[in-house]
Amino acid sequence: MKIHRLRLFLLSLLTIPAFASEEQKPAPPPAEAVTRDFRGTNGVVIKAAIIDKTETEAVLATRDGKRMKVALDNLVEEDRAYVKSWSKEEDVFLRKCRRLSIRQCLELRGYESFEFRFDGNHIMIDGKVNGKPARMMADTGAHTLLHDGFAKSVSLEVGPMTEKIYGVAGEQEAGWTAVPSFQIGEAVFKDRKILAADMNKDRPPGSKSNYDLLLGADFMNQLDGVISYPEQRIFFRPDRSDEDAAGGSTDFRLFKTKDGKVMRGKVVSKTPTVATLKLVNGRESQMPVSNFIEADQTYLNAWTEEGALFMEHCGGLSVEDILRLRSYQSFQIRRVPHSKHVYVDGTLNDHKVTYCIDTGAFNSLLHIDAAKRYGCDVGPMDQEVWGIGGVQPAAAVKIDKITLGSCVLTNRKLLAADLFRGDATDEDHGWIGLFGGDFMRELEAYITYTEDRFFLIQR
Amino acid sequence: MIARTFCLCASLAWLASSLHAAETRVWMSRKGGLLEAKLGSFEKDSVTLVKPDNQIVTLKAEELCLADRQYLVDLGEAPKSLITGGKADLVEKDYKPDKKSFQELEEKLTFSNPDAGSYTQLETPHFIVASVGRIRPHAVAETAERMWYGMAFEHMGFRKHWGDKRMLILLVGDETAHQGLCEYSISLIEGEEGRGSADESFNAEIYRTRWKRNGTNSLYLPDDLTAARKLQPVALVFNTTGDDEFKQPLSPYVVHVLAGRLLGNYMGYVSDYADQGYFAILTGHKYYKEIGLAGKSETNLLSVESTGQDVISSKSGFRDGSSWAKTLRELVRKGQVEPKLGPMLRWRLDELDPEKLVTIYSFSHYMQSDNQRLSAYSKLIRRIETSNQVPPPAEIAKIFGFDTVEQLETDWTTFIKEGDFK
Repeated sequence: MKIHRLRLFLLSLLTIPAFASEEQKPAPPPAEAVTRDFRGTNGVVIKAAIIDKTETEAVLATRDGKRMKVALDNLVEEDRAYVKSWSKEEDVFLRKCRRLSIRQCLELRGYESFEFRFDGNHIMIDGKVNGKPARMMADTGAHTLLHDGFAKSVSLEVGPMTEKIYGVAGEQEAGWTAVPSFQIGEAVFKDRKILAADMNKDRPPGSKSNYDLLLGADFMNQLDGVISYPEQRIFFRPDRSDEDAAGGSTDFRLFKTKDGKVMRGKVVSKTPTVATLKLVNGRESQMPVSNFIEADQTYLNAWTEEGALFMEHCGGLSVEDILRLRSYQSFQIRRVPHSKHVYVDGTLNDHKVTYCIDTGAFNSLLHIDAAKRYGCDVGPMDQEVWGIGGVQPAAAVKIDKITLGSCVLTNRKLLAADLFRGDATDEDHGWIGLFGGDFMRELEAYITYTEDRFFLIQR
Repeated sequence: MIARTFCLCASLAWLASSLHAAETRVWMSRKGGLLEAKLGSFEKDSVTLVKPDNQIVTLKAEELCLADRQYLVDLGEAPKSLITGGKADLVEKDYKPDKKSFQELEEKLTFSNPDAGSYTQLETPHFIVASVGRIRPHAVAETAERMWYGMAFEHMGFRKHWGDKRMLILLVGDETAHQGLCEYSISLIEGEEGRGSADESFNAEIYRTRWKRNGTNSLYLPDDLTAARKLQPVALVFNTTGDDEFKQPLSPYVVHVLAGRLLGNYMGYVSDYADQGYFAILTGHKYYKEIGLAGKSETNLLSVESTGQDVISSKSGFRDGSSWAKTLRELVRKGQVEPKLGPMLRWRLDELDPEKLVTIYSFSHYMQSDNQRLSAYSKLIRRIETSNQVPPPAEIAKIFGFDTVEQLETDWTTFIKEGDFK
């Protein structure tokens, strides 16, 4: 029986020229490559894995090490579609780089990354304003804003309170403030003009704002921010483009040894103690890591094969690609003219609606009219919500179902308030509530301003 | 903290560089050892971890704490069976904290009110236990670290949520100091120490009465102290006058209090419009840990009647604190007690009777009785923590894998009547 199968297999290989051409150097298929049956239009079947493709051909590798080019026209339609949907970058990523976190992927591309902590569901970052420690909160539902009391305490001059800002509880006065510098990690932002307002307005006795500076949607937009709830990190755009970063990391670089030797090369492999460099002249050189100067030792210790492969082969993968490969659902962020805020479509009790993505909302919040209109069980207005503008009454509402894609949140209670302060309806504004930190933490959200996408996973 | 030995049946080896990729994190073993390492690989039932010096540690996945196993499952590296198989242990029983990490501080802890006492301090990895009077802090410190480990073992987000701030525990074995601390606390609440003014409903006289009567109180620390000492904002104050229960690790009352404090600290506050069930879940957890770790319950709950405000009554389970399960089992078998989730979640302290309290205990025991349920329990606690509300019964049933509340209640009842309910 075994022999019979082998013969059949050999027979199929022998007939390859009918729709494939063999490569010169046989090599085994890459480890863990997905092997499947490819069917030719002539009925021949080849068990192989796809390892590369062009517009017109697929490169297949069989388990016994043979590689062959197959014209797409010679494959049945189903297999042509498979080849068309196959991505080498995704394939390499899944086989070789899948353990890289989003943080690692972005940092490899030169993004600056900052760890944040949660204060409840708020995203808090420790930074500095005018050289003094400051508590910052990332708030995609707001504009960048200083607490006026804090501004004064760090010797900033708050201008006349002639501006108006609007929040969940109405409007409030604010004044422009020149901020010579504020700092997050090593990143310094100089000479900004930021509005300042009293963030403790109407707060109950004994309570006070938990932040000194709101990093708003304008800031996230400007720096192409990426917010990762599961990793508790915010990333900001690198100074150079992804392409430059990818090229730079795989290019040859200068290595210096402690005894003064200089060589140009790139790392091709590494053991815990020895690095193998491919030099510009094509030769390979092995050398103990400890022989290099400290900066190069740091580089070599941080070097990983997965990272190198990612930079070499997966440069075209977006954050969306990487998260999709990890079973995340991806949503297109919607924008509204003249607003930096971001929105996403979903449902409320099976009605199609749009939510504002608001990392500054401790809990998600509905507009009261929409809650009533879409079948929520709305309680009395005996609750309160605080935010920009102070305090305003709210009602507890029971919700049967909220969905975003296939993420389903059932049997929830939220608060509902007049989010538009009576001057317009949710239909005028085009959104019905705030999708807040509670849901984003539960569904391990990512937000990327670079790609205008929002990602969720329900475990 | 990371320097502690990762006491595992681990094989050490050097591995090819292709494994050195995932992000570095701190892993915790069943025995409480911590290891800073990257995930190298997961194959069958073994995990390979790569230390920063590139040394390789290979261990059975089941040797990792439940929270780290959950991490592997969420990462897509391990099958769900890694967290759902087997019986759940009370890991605090066997965990022995490294006493070398306990350090007696030379400096005494004092407060702006000199009557509040002068405290000797014992610093542990996650607590500062400060004492005045004849009780030494070591037994409580050990209990606290063991309880902390239990939470970190079971709940994936607990360690990160706790952060790098210590919790202050005050053991007050001196009446004058206890009263002085009460006055200090009142001054903080009323705003004299810069925390802002108390709301109008605050009544200092009632506060004094409760403080004196309670075995344990909370002290909201001033910002300058929490910042200077890297402390969590709320300290735990034990009244240790005349009690010997603070001399041995895992004594019932201390376990009860710390279990509640650590879980409550992790869950955070819940919105008043969605807090039904918070009391039952927290109280059940306290009694589950108390009975499971100390073998019996010695803790009574004090109830302050809301109308009179100064009428304090005591609530407890069955008189014999070591036979709650047996007594409830008989009552359930006879049909005199019927476990029902919805009503139980609505119970308040002032309406408790022994049957109700022990039913609450039984539900917590049920939720933590095997790894599958413990995993669901951990998910429930995470849900409360992020949503600031207790899910309604139908959602709790769903979290535990049931389509209906009735199915959950049947399973819970079976656990009481026929399961490993002790």
